[in-house]
Amino acid sequence: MKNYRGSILFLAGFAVALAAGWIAFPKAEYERQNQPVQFSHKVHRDKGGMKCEDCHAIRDDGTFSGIPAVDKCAGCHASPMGATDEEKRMIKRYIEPNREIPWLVYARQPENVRFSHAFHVKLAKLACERCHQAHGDSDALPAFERDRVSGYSRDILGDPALLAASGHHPGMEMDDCIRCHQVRGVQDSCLACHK
Amino acid sequence: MGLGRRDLLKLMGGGAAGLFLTPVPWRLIDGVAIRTENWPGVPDPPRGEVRTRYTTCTLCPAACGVRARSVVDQPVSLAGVAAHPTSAGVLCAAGLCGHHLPLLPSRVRQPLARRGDKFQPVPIDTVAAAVAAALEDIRNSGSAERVAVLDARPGRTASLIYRRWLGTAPNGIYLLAPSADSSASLGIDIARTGTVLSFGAPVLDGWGTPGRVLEARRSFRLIQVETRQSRTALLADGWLPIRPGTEAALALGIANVLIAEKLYDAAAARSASDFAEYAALAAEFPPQRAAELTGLPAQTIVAAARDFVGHGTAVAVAGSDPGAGPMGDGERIAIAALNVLAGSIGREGGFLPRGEAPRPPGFEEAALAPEHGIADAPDASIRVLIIDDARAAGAWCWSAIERKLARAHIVVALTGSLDGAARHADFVVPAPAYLEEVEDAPAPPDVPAAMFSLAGALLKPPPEAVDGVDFLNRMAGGGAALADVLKERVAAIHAARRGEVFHYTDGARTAVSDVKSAEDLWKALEEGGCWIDRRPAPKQEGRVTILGAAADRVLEAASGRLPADALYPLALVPYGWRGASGGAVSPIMTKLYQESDVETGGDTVELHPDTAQRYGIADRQVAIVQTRCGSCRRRVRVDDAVMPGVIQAEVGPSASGNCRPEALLDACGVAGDGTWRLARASLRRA
Amino acid sequence: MAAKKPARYGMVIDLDRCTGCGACMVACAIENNVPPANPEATERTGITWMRVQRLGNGRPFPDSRAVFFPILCQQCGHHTPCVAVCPQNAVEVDAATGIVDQMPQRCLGCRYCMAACPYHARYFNWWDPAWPAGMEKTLNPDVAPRMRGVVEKCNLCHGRLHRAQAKAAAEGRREITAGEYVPACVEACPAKAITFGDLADDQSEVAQLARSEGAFRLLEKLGTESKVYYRSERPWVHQAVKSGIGKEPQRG
Repeated sequence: MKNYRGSILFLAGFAVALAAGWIAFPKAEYERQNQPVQFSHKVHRDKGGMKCEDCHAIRDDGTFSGIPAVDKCAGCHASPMGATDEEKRMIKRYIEPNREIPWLVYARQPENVRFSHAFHVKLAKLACERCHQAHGDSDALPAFERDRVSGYSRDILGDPALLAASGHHPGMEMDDCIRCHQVRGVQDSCLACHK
Repeated sequence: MGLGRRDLLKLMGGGAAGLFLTPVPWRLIDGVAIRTENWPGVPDPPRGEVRTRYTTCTLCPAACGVRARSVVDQPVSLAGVAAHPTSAGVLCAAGLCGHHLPLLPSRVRQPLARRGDKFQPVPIDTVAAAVAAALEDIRNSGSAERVAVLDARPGRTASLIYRRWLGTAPNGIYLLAPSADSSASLGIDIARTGTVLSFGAPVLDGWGTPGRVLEARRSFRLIQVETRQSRTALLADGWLPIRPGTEAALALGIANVLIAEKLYDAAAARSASDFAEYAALAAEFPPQRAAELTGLPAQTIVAAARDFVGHGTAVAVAGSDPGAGPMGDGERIAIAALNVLAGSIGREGGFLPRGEAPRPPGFEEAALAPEHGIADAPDASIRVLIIDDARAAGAWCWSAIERKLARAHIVVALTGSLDGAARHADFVVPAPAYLEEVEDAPAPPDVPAAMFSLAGALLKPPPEAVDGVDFLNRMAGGGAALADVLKERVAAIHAARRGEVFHYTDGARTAVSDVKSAEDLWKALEEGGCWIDRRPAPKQEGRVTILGAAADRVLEAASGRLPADALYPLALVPYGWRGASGGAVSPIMTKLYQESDVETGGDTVELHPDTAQRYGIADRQVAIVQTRCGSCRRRVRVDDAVMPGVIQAEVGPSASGNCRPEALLDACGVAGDGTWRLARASLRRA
Repeated sequence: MAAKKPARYGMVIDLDRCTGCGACMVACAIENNVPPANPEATERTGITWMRVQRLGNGRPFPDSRAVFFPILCQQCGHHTPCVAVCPQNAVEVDAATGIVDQMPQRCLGCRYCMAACPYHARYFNWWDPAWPAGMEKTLNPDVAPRMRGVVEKCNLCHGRLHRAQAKAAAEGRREITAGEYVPACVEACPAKAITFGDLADDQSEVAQLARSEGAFRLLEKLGTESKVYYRSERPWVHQAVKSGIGKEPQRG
């Protein structure tokens, strides 16, 4: 009788590695962090009657205002507008002491990446949802999944296969940007998007 | 049945094979690549809204307009203001990195008192009390000892406040710092000038208002008289390489030719009360004698004189190089006399009278201590010396100042740097740095119009910073802050209803008579603007005096500044670069003196190959420069463009960082009239 | 998407105006987050994307004359040597602007490009960039600082080009007008010695100056077709260039 011991060990190692790589590693790779304030885009859109540009505007000089500073929130929330504890907590922690809310930015790029909202929104006329999906409809902010090795969010540097497998939205990596640029025939030189 | 080594290897092999079919290796490679690209050692630029703010540069008297690009409130880069009436959109190398100066790690942030060789922090009231006690002592003892303020930036509103305070202090005397372009009463109409004859003035390399001068460059001929082949000399239309210290001889030689060949302006000569005496002095310097003294061929001197007056309005200027200190009285008078001969005083293209912005009430000239040069103060007469050197841009020879101090004295330096004036101070008071305080700038010395620019505060000063006016107020127990006096001055400008405001933000001009209120005028200036009066009309002055009582000083200067010295046969010629000779510069300036040889650096001297060979020193070796007054170590650079027998010594920051710019000037020693431009020196290998 | 007419950004530097003051060098370092020198850096190991050199006429005092040459990446258009040798494809010539784009983040630091560049216009980061404590907040957010071990060079202030394009985009324009995009050195020069613009636009001032009498390029016979021109009306300067470039500088 042949000794299958070696093959069994080999296959055992193989199976363990597959399990580790496909199941354990993705869980361990990311650190889930919660946003400092639970913010509902849906409430602000419906009850507040706001549009994306009211907080996330392109300035006259072409720069993007990004996530608004706390004084934008203080413009309405100097005193509570609703009845939630979360809002009261936010006012006490951030609005009253005029402290910036330390948002975890899903789309924060490495320092050498340059992205201009002006080009994409004003010239290419892309809708916000094209890249940010239904974020503007969301009732709660998803957890920020931070890659423990690179330090960046899963949304910009996550593995596409794993993202799909876990039901996460597909994220957006450099290859996605390049693909769209090539299809539309717009600038794709290195320094167009890197600094 | 135990697990053997081979079994372990098979297990691991399976694991490795499996791993490659998972995302793990690729994720790790990606992650590590990105992590190492964004190494913690590489700083991240700040994030935030980018704003544009405006101010006026106060690092030198040129008062150029500044456009600051700021991330939220921190300026990250500076640029000039296009269409500015005097600076023409220009900022020099020092001005471009001025926003680094408030952040220099070596910057003084608290009041310090000297204890032996070191400084220790003390409360500001200790300093004020020490000075107040000395003042009390002078008053009570009725001594003739003086209280002096040495002002590195005269002509500001703060300068007026110092002068008024000195009017009330016991034996107060107001001194102009040697690096200051003396508050000239005449500016130059450079856009219409035909010829500029410059005796050592760095006309194209940081003189007057650089933007204005360079903009007019194509329209005037430039003759540069200088021992050293400076940048100005390289770009001039003619270079006259005279022997060191022979400027006055050349000026009189040129005067001799102009008078002999009747090329001078007769009307101007008639208006000079002592023309005959001057002509007699010039007659002693025919081209041959001037040639012997200066080392230039006689024919060159004759041609230069004809050239001077041959192309439109001619102006002769005497400049002090920023490293070499002021020119002596004899030279200055001999050179200024050429302007009388050329008839350029009061003429279009020549010298036109400068005005001053209207002063706030209470600052009439009668109430203020008059302006004096350091040499005017009697030796050993100053008990209390307050030095306002907040921008530390110039290098001084300390012994010129030291000889004026009484045996028991207190020196207080208002500064941000421990180099420069603070080296010899008993107390250092941390002044607000550039961009940290609202202050004003008068018209640059070359501009023939009254002007008033406001420099806004773009940054907050350190909590213990005290400006000069504030310090005087502490001693006096009260008084108006500088900002309040500035507001009063702006109100006075508004009330005078003359001139116009130039707005940096959009280049627009508004007549002052159209500005509704003094507050509106203040706001327009603080946001970024300057007030400028009309260009004065050319007008011939009344009687002028050329030599006055200074004929013997002129003769002395012309007969030779550098007597031969057997032990010290070489001529030491220091030179500096504007904005940097004092040493407190942005670290980005290493691009100029360490990472290139645009500047050789404050720790080098340049020699002609023959000179170097005679003393047995090779290129890049260290030598000791020895004079009768001292010595310093310098690295030698050999350059065959240097005049043989001359040691050219740069005064400024250096790559080695530990050579103080003023060590060289201290070795130069001070001449009888308080100048230190030249010295006899010798060299030896270190 | 409409194809924009490709630009060829270049400059003409007037050697009769350059005073050698170094303002361009300082402005370049500030715009591009080039750090101050490491204490051990020398003129060979420092980083000076823009660098003023002195070229003499080879005669001693008092017949010596010198001219100041600001040297930057000459933006070679043809047979771009650095592009040809890079093993990492970290450099490319951007077809839309003509700018030779250097990607320090792709560079692995072999320095082959530094050997290939005939103008010595490429610089290696021998040390990690270090600003004095507290001065990092003066960095320009439009340019990423580089770590040690990579090569960098002038990219005609690409950050400013992008800034101008973004501003135009905010106003709905696809094209920037001449004058909206100006590199830091051009803006800073006190003598206004540098004229910058699109060489492909025949009517532009820079194109006219580049065609004018007295304009020349460095090492023309190499055929790099660089986009940086120099001009002078002084015959001795032309003479010195023909014989002098590449010799040891006169100072020591």
